[in-house]
Amino acid sequence: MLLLISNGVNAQRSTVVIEVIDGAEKYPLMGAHICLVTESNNKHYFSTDENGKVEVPNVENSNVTLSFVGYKTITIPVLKSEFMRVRLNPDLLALNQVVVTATVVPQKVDASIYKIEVIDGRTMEKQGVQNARDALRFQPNINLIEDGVLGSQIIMQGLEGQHVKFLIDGVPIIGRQDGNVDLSQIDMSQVDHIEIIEGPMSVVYGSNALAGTINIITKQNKYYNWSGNATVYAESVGQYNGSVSVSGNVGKSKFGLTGGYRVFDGYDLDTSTRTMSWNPKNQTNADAFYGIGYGGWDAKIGLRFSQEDLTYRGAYLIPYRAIDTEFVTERWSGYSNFSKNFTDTSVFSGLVSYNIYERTSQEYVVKEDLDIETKRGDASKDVFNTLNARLSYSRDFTVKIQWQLGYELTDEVGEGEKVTNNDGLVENALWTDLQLNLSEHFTIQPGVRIVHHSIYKAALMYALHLKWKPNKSWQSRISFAKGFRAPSMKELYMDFVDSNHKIFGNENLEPETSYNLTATIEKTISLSENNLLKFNVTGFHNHLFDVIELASDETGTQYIYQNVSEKSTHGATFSTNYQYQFFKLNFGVALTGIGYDLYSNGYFDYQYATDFTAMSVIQLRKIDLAMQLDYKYTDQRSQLLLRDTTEDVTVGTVEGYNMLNFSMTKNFSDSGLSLTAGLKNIFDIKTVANSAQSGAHANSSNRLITWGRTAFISLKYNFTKI
Amino acid sequence: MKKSIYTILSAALFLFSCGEENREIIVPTLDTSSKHLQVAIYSAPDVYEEGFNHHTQQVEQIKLSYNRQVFVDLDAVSETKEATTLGVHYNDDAYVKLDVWDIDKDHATGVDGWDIVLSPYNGRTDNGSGTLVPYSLTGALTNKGNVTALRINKSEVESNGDTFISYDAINYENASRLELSSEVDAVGSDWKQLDFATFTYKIVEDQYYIIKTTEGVFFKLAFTSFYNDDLEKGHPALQFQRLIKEE
Repeated sequence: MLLLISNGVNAQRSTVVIEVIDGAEKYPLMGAHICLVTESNNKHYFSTDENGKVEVPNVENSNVTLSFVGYKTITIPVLKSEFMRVRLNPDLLALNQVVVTATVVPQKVDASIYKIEVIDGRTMEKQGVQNARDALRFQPNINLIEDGVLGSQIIMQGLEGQHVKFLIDGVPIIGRQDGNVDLSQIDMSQVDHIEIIEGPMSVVYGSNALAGTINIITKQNKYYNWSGNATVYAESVGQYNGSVSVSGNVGKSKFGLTGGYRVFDGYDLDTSTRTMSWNPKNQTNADAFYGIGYGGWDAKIGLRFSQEDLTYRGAYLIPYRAIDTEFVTERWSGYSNFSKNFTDTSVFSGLVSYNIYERTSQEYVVKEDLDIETKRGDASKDVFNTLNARLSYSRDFTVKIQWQLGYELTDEVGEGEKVTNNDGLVENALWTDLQLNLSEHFTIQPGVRIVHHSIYKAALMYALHLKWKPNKSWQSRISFAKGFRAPSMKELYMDFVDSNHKIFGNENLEPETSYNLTATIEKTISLSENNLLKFNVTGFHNHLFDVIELASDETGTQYIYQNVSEKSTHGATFSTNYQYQFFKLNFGVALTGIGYDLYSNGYFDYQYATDFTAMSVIQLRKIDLAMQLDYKYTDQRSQLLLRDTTEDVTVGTVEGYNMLNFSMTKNFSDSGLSLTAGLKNIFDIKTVANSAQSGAHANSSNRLITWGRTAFISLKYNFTKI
Repeated sequence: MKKSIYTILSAALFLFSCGEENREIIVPTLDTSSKHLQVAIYSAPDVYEEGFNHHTQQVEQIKLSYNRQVFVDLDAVSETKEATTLGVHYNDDAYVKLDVWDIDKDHATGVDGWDIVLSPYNGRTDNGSGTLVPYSLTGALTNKGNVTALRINKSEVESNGDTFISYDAINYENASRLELSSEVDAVGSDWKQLDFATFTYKIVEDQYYIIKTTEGVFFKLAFTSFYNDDLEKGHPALQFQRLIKEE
């Protein structure tokens, strides 16, 4: 496990040299992170040199935490010696991953009361992941739906995107089209890892966090005076991306700057028409922050910006003439977070953000024969602004009792041509949870959230989480939670009216509520050192009430958001993870049943789908090369369709498909370069047959999946200066 | 009856061609060439009507997208003459707010011998469960009692187990065997479809109409666009062609 070689006896020396080596093959690890924590809880960060060595001050009664990506993190006391050699062991199963979702104090994923799925940044780099869509493509309980204009949408545990909460470093991402955040607009180039929690997190995160919560955690530079990277990416479909990032630590200050630009020329499956299956779009993002530590406080302010410029190419209305529509989506997020650790083991932290979402559409009359493009009418603009403030406090009364208290304010206003005048939505929420470690093996955590909403009467949400860990090998978690989702601004106020097409918001909507039960059992078998086998079985059941859906009125010509029915989903996931040194193999089967109560008589007709996932990674450490295969079979999805009550129920289906990616990453540590190349969608799936249609949208007989098989190459340059 | 078209036409032409200075009888050959026509069902000045504004949630004056009706006399077509059209603006006294549900408003005077009128009208649409309900539509109504018409739609024809004959291929013989409808909205508005992604109107493919005019002549007629050259909507364009009996 861990071997310490103490060398020398001079306790008076003021520094100690720590050498970090690979536990299996004994070679030095360059760039391993060392955090020295003194008795008074001051933290100092270091990083090992090309010989795997670093010199740190030898302060009495201090500890060092050693971490390196892909290895288990360890914390050990600093010995009164001048040399320490520390072995780190591989951790491909990421049991040591530190998570921050739903906790004031960062903790290890294994220690969390929640079952948190982590997609780490290194894996994403190996996969050639560019945006959140790519990152989530191979997740077992997540399915993606593509739309040429609205982008990539998520379905989680059988529930649509409006039930899923998206956060970047805890700040909610606003700006949803048709209830969905476009996943292809979320850049992944500076992401450290993604934390996915299935099941409601309404007690901690409020609305939307009903099917699940996805928290995107950006990279932090804790160890270097200067750190930076530059990446270029090219994919054979015509996608070209570039990004640059620099961050630094000077004295008590830290700062960072990031910028990225992505170009996509569009891709068309049917070139006989002028419209494109994948519309051309360019994306820009920029991010800047400044942080300071002072008097025990850590504070950070930042500004995050992203823009997408998408051109929808219209069909020829008459020869050589078409109407193109340019959609510009902008997100601004100004945020500030601050925290303080008090000596009595309590922590206070706050996060305040002001978020602006703007979507502008402008039509152009294109006369291709004359090469003229003129604006058609005025631009239409919708703006949504949200102020979000979260304050939370946690305190460990004893080792057995930990308490969290939080307050959250969400103040949202929206205006635009399509938005009815309104007074905005204000939600004040107070939540608290109490973690009781009843015994060494058993933890129970009840939680409650009280919401005061400017439109809806006070709501109460609650949850109960249990964790049982009888020994190192077994652990089990059970949670029961009541979820809550207040109708969104769009569902309440957004109208979409044309002479033949009418969609109305509905000011009389009631909030959706839900019950969720999730249970999971995990068994880890240590076959030998660095040889691990892990099994996991998870079952879930969701029951939603007053589900808000677009329903047609009695004339059949107008669509209005209504609390139509109940919906129920349940399912189970079984997964195995096997790790032998630097080889990893994952298998997963996910069964999802979606129940429809079509006649509102409490009878749910479940439609089931069984998906498979598999993943294999091998890292050849000596030549620093990693190879990865990702596979997912997305089963046929059936949906019951009932166009009106006089008709019989018909079953619409979306055909199943296979997705397979392969990628290789070679690191050139000396020069700081890393090269990733691979193939995406090796089976060349572009569309699947679709006989399920919904809502007020034009239907097509094919559902878009991806733009087919592509080759990609990515070159990244990293530099660090201690 | 249909065979007598020639006789009538010839007679008519004979009568009209009896000029003072020209006593020679000229019977021009019937024009069977393909014709094209585009009309505007919107024109200045703008017209406002009281209606419910969904943005402000109030009843207020709303600008009409379509404020003009155009009567078309297809029979007037000859080698030297286009179809006769007469445009009537909403503000004109002659304007009729056409309504297929109201027997007083489902017809208009128009121009002598007009066959179809392109106009906004209160029509009927399926509410999704087979019941027809009133709905504001934009399209073509026929001259009540004097004109009959039939929609020929490929998938409709084929789902009935019949063979679809294309616009280009259909002839007099085929047309004369059809049972045409005397409903004023037999042509109607469903030759165009709104594309929800772009909010533009697409012309329904493989769909056209057979029209038997006031003079008893068969025409085939297909809509080609709802837009003018600057892609302003409310400019229905159509192509049509006289069908004559082949000797």
